[in-house]
Amino acid sequence: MKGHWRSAAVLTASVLAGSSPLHAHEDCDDIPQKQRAVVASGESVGPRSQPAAAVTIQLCQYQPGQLEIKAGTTVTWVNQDDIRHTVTLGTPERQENVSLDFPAKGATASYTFDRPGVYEYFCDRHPAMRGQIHVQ
Amino acid sequence: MKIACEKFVGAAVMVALLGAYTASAFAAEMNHHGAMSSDLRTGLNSLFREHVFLAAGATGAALAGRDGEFKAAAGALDGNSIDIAKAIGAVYGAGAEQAFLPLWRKHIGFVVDYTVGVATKDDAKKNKAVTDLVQYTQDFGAFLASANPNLPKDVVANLVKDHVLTLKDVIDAQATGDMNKTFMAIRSAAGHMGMIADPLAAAIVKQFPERFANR
Repeated sequence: MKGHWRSAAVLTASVLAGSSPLHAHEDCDDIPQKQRAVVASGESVGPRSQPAAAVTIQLCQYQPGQLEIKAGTTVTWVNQDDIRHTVTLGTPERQENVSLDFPAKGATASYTFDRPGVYEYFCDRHPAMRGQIHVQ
Repeated sequence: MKIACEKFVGAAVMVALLGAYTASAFAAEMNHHGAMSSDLRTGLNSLFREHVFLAAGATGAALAGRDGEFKAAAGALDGNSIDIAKAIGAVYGAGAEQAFLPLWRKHIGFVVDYTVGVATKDDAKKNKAVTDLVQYTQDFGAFLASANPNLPKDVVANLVKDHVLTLKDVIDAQATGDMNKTFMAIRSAAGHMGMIADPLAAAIVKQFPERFANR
């Protein structure tokens, strides 16, 4: 497993079908079924990664919009808007198969980036919302 | 009918010209510390009412099949959208401005969808556009609630919902060709924008009292 999901509070991880050039696709597909079930329950999955980074979702923006992290870092997003947002890897034109759902204000979700690369993401309800993770 | 249409076009152009000056001046004004709260209120009122007049100009032209006029009105309407986003940015920063603009444009797209549905007598398209617009009010309410704790999401959403419904009345009236009904609906829709602009201005002043002199 090259990366893993971890949840806090109200996390719903949506794993969509399809191929992906990004490692994140493989990350998600590599999560065993048992672990996916644990993710849905809100408990932590796999070994906890360090360090961590945080992104706030507020005013229909990911703040910070660009983040540089080291491989193995777990990024946690927190929704501060009173509306549903997502963190969906890829772009609206080329959506990847990984999507975190933030159904309401206060929802959080995390994702660990184990492989270097540039990961773009967006909100599938508000496609103008874009973020980028640079994993070194 | 022809005379009525020409009057309508003339009114839309005049409002656009007046609005363009007001909006630009407003955006510049809000960048200065010590701006007057009255400037904020009147500036937002101008921008939002201009939005209605230009939107009505665009939908009226679209329904009548006047493509050139529609494109011109749509262009002016987008200029108004940019000015409204700048006004938001003047208060909440460039990031908020960039986030607000596509959100605002989104509801204009739904209004266009509704207009196309009316023009083509496609009830399914009309109903979907209304559903999208109602859902949009929640997004808009959430955005302003995030920006300003003095603006409850549901209150904003309901006010924007009324805006959507009054604009829908305009389009429905335009489709009937009844100019009296159309202009009454436009007046009503434009007048309603004060119900959004005034509380928004008041909430901003309450949030940033140091930035707005109490006048």
